[in-house]
Amino acid sequence: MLPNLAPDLDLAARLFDALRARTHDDVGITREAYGPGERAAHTLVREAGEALGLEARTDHMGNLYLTLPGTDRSAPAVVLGSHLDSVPRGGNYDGAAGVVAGLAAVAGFRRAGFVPARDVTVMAIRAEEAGAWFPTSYPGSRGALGRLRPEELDIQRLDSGRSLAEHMAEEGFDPEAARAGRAVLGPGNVCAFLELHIEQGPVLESEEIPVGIVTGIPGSRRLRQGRVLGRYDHSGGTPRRHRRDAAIALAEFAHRLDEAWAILDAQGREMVATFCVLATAPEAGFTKIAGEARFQLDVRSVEMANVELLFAEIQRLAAEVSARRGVTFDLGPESGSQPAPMDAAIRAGLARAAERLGVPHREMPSGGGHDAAAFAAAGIPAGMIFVRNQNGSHNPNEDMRMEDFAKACAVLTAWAAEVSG
Amino acid sequence: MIRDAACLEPDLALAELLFARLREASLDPPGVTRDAYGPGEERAHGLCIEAAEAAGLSVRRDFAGNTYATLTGSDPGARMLLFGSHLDSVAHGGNYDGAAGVVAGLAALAGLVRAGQRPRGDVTVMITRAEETVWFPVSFAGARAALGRLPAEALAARRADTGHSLAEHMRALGFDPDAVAAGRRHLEPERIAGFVEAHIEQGPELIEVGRAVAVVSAISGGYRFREARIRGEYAHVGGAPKRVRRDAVAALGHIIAGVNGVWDRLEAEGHRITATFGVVGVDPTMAAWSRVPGEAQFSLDIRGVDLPALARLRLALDDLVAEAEAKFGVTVSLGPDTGTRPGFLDQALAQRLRDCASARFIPFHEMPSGGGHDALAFHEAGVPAAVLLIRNQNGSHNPDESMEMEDFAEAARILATLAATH
Repeated sequence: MLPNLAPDLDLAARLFDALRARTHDDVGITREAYGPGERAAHTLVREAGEALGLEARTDHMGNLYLTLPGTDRSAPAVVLGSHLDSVPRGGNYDGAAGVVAGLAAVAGFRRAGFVPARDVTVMAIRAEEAGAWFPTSYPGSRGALGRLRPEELDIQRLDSGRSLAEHMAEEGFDPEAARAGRAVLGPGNVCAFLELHIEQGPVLESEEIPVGIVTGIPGSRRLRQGRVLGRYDHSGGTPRRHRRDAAIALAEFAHRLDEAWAILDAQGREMVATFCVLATAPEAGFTKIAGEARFQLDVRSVEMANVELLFAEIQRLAAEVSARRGVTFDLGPESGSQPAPMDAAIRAGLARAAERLGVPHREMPSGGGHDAAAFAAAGIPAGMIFVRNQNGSHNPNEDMRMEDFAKACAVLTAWAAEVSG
Repeated sequence: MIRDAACLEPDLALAELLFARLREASLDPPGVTRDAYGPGEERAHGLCIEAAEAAGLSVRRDFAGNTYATLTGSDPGARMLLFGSHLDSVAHGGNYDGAAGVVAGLAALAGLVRAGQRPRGDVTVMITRAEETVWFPVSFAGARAALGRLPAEALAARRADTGHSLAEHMRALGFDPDAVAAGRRHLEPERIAGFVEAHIEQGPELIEVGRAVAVVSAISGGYRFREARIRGEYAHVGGAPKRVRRDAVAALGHIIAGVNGVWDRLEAEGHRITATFGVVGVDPTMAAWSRVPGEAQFSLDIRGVDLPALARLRLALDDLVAEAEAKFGVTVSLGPDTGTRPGFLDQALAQRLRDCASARFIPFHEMPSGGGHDALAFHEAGVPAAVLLIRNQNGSHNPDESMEMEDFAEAARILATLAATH
């Protein structure tokens, strides 16, 4: 029988306050990846871990590990973690909540005198906010897993224009080890990775449920440079049958794709399809029929089969609208990612812990990508807990309630005690 | 008399030379740019003044910068006949939209001078300003100013590229916006027998029917929304399932597809109107990868001469806006409607054009015009107005606009005959 372990929520509150105080700009929170903001956050977390008597270590990527030693040091560890960088003028909880939750759990173990059978490690990951800093997926965690491609070290930070390697070296880390593929984590030394994260959408809030257990991180197919080519003509002088109108063709395409999605949505197929960009070309004018229109389309789902269904419709609609409207659809190059299903045993364990604690919860897919996907892709059982959060993420109004954090953190703590005990 | 006049040839060499000079002076690859109340339009006026004076016409300018080249008639009491069109072009447009009407008028009058013919009343080629509304969002600024019918507030309209007002642009070229604001008239409608505008056809109908020219008896009008906006809410792509989204692009798609569907039905019933969403798009400063678009804008230009069909599409637009708001949780604002009502032109003047064409054995077509031309400003002022369309390849408002000189010559011949019998 496990002792009745509770996370140290006072420590969590103090850490959130300290993080906010150290990384607040005039509007929100800025913790730039491989820059002063992220560095300040790592320093704070490291100091908190050392004060708890945890073993502190930093890898070649600059990821921080704070370990509570287990009785069997050779057994694969349980890793609790998330990232500490933020988008510019973002909120205090996106990323940091997962690191703080891990520390609060381990602090709870320490306070109760609980010694796990295997190591429990809190991991603070680098550079997860790809849209804000280095435009590649999870370089911090993938670097630790030895799964970063050498050329990814040359990717430039969006604001500074300097490479990941330069920024890493400047912060005292070892880009050449990353280039050589050094791995410090793998299925051999990690038995499970659990990431607590604020929910980035409104689902938990609208359903009044504090905790989500994530079923998977979606895979995606993306068209970033889609174009529809028609012909520029005078708006008044060109009768309908002579028009090759790229704006109407693209709008019809978008509208019918939205209808297709509505049908699939009604069947319970969870997915999202977004025209992030849809616009006529700069040459467009009020009195001209649009000769060119451009779009960016993002389709994602935890079930890749759903994405494939919608993409088949994209191909069919593009051909049909082209033929009828005398335009050409150029879908352009495609990018995307594979889905990362969360480990079934971890999901079941989290659900059991929530039931035992009486915490209302639901299963749900993640919308965005998270470091947990990198662990799953490396063959490490991975799981995620979402915390209800107000006002979305990636903005200064992000607002997680501490009582919700406490419930999610309790679930995490109970689960970690079970799998490490 | 019309039989003698039917033998009169316009000065086509002058026309060719003038087209070449205009092209050269406004070349802006691809195509030509003659900016309204700017250097491009000003240079074009200068070239036409030079050519008109060399051809023996007397030249004047009015306070709004419109140019008049006159062949003086024998009877000072007779009303004047006006030929005219504009010399501005869209950016990177073609050489003939507007200029064709000016050059046709000048070539016709130069032909009369060369043949020693003098009409009874004055015949004047009027070269207007600022007809292409891509520059100033004001219809027929030059023509309406000459008629004392440009509202004073139109002078505050800003040129899309420079941001300076119409008044500032006029003043910079030495013209007098205060006279425009005061509603001064350079032209007295009751002193004008008619205004005839030759213009390239902006669509392909004449190519289809195999005719060089068309007599226009109506000019289309409609509804023009330049700044319609849809406001929804930006959200993270992954975190926003369908039911909670307020996606501005989805709402935009609903409206455009809906308008298109109603237009389909009208077309199937035989109604001929057009609906153009010329500029649509998300806000480029806010749209981002992984973000549900929270704002979009569109322009909509609905045109035709068929009033019931125009009204049906307009009502359908309101329904679609309401549907989009309800279905997608967005707010749609159509913004101001700067459209004009359709115009039915002077039937007697149109008949004179048909007679002149017939006298010269020039086969002609009859059709409404889709583009709003300066002739509409005269029509609205109570002046008998008519439009003569010239066959043109590849549409207008683009660098590939391409008029055959033989087709142009037919239009100039009709104008020469009309002038000689005035």
